Amino acid sequence: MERLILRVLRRRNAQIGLAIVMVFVLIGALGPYISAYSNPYSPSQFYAAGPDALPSWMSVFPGYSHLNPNIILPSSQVFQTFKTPEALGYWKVGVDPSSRVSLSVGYARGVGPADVAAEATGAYLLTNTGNGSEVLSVSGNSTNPVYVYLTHTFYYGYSPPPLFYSQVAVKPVLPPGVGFAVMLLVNTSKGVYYTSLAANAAGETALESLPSAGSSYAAYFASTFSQPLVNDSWNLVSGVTNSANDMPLAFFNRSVPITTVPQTIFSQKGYYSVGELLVFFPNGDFHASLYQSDFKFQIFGRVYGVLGTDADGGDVWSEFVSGTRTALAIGFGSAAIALGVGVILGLIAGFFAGLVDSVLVFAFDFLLLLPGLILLIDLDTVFTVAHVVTSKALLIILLLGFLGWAVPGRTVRSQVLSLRRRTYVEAAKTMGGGNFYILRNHVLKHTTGTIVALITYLVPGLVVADTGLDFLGLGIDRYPTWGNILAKLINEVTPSNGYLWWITMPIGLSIILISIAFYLIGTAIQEEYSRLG
Amino acid sequence: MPPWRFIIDRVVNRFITLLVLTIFSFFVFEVIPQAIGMKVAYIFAGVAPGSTRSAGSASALIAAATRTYDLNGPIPARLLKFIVNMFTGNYGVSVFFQKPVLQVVLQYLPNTLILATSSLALTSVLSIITGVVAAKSFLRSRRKLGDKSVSIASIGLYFVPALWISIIFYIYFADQLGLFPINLAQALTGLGSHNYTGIMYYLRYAWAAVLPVAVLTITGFGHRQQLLRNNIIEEYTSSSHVEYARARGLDDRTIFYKHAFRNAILPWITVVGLDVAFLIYGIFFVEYVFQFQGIGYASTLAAQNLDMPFLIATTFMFGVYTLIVLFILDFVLAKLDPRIRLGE
Repeated sequence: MERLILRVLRRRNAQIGLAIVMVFVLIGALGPYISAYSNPYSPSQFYAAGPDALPSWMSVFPGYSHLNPNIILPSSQVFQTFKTPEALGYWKVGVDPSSRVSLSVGYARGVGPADVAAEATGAYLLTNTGNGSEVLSVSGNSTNPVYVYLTHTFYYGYSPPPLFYSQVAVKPVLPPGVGFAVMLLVNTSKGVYYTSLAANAAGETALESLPSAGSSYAAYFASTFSQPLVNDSWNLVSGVTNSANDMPLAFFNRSVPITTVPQTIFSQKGYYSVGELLVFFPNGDFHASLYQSDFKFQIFGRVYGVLGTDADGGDVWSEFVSGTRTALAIGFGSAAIALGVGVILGLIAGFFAGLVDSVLVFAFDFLLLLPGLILLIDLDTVFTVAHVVTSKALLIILLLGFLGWAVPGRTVRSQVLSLRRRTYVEAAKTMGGGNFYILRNHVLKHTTGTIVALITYLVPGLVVADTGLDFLGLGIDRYPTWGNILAKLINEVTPSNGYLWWITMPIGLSIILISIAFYLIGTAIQEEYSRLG
Repeated sequence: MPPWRFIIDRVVNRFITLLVLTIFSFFVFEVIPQAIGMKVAYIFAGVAPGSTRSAGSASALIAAATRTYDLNGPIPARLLKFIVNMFTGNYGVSVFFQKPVLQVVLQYLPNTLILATSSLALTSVLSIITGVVAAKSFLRSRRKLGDKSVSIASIGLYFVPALWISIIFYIYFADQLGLFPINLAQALTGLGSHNYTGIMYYLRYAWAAVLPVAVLTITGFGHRQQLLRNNIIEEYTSSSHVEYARARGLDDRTIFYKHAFRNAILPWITVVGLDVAFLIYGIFFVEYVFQFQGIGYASTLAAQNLDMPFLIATTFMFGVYTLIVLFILDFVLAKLDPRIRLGE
């Protein structure tokens, strides 16, 4: 046996095959460590970047260098969540000089967003990140609105992005009757664009009574999704340009369709400022403070990651890794069951002739003659309706395993039949060796090569079977397996997204590569095995 | 053993297999679900979780399903009823299609038959031609370029999953370039705007069938081509009757076709027969991707919508089909190969 393995390993085609299989096994085994998202099909992991983003290495090519990557401001999550006092320095703070109030900026280590409820979900959303926040204290005597602003300037050197998102979690601590509003904005050479907006009840009234834009504010605040800020508790102020609901721009300038907001804002290369405008509406002497954290802006990339994104902005590399994990788990898992059952029944059938053999041979032939795919679909449907097995992946492993033992069973049986007539088996019998002893020490030992070759024959077939089942919508659902990725893809391709080649090709080539790899190993084993005799 | 004994033996054997399949599906569809606490009548009537049936018509359907499958009787009586139902074509009403199952099957079957027969004919012809070309190239020429290129192509295509290549073809040739219709309905009715008749109908049908048949042909001919090539080469180089023919002074052409090829084709016929018996699997995906309304497409929709009566019927029918094909294969082989004498 050891000799066989060594000789097989010395063959070039076995080495190539093993190398390919090892790469896939590594991807599968390291899955959670090499991919950012556990299940890009769940809505909370959508929009890692813009929808249908190309792989980021594509920007090396001249025709694609104008596509923007993900731009997140501040770029580090430590700064976004104010885990360190240095995060304060990222933002340039100022107060309207005419308002004659005093402003102090501090760092609150022990205060941070908690119990924040968010309407939308997506990979971009940042909520309840715990302690760490910036505290702004404003005090003075005024009856005019007081404007405080935080800004950060950056250079944008790409073509217009697909999506834009802004958020901040605020906890206003205000004296009664003081109106307050938070606006997140982008300052461009063409003017200021507001991308998120929220106010407390008094603030809403004050803004609605503004002579210039009062009616727009009224329209925005009247919509059901706009909740007034609650004093002394954490509120999330956010807006994303794929949902008309929370994007104030759609209300302030009705001529800008919601989907073209990012194109309107970032219409050309140049310097832009992102920032926040805080408006207080005091009525005389006042002292207000504001805690804020989870403060970020995101320009979604048209290029992202190793393999880009799908139509929901899900990370395709993570999908591919999840798919590989599932494919290998199902391939090897069901092959193990099929082999285990098949080898045991094959040994029994081959060794005990007579009725046992006839019954088992009938069972093998029966399973081979069955309409396998139909039966797989039948059983899958019945057990899915029944909810017997909670995990669909496990159900498929079991079904594929228990429908697949006919081939190993028959092969092992014929092997055993020829072994039974060998002289050493006859000798062992004459010496009084028991059935079990002979099976284990002589027969099983000499069928090992066949069994190993059977693995290489079974695994790719089972992987393809599972891919097909998932593709038909009968397998694992709401999880990126190879079959599901292909099924989702087929409804999403258009010329404008480059036919999603970065999804189609990795999946198809992986299936082909796995089949070829196992074929190479299998033929190497069989050739060496027949040479050893 | 005389030939008629062989025939009866085979018929009995295949019939027992069919009976076991029927009993097996009785357990899968009726006994197991009941044993794990499900209401079988509800499933058969399509009132299971996930169905869109309204509550009003549900009780009538449950009563109908109970009557058809005798669901209130004792298990042996139900088994008998089930077997009789299957063998007499009483398959009940499809939950999803809301028509008798037999009617649905007959409606969808022609499309599958057309795909199956045309792809089968194409793959067979293609594999014989390329197999002979490759074998000749291997045997006659020194550089073997023809053999190498044909063999690499067919081994490579063997590993390409039909599912994936269907998707690629669908995306590029049908959905994007618009060279072919995106589904059969579009081809035949122009999305409801036309009603093609006569020669136009058949032409548009053929147009819609091009891609599915192409996929089935591309993915199906590789292993047959390799089998034929290897067999011809082996027969030509190492079999004793070819050596004898050569000693008799026959010319190469006669030896190649009358001796090597004629013997090499027998295993090839076996494989083609097995392919015919199990052809339906590739067709499932191809029909689904190209929305070619055949039996595989219908079965997939039925399974997605938990349509048990339809699945029970198709399980049985595919079983019958496979067994009949294998039965015919036995006789074809026995007729073709003088070495296989009936009954030995």
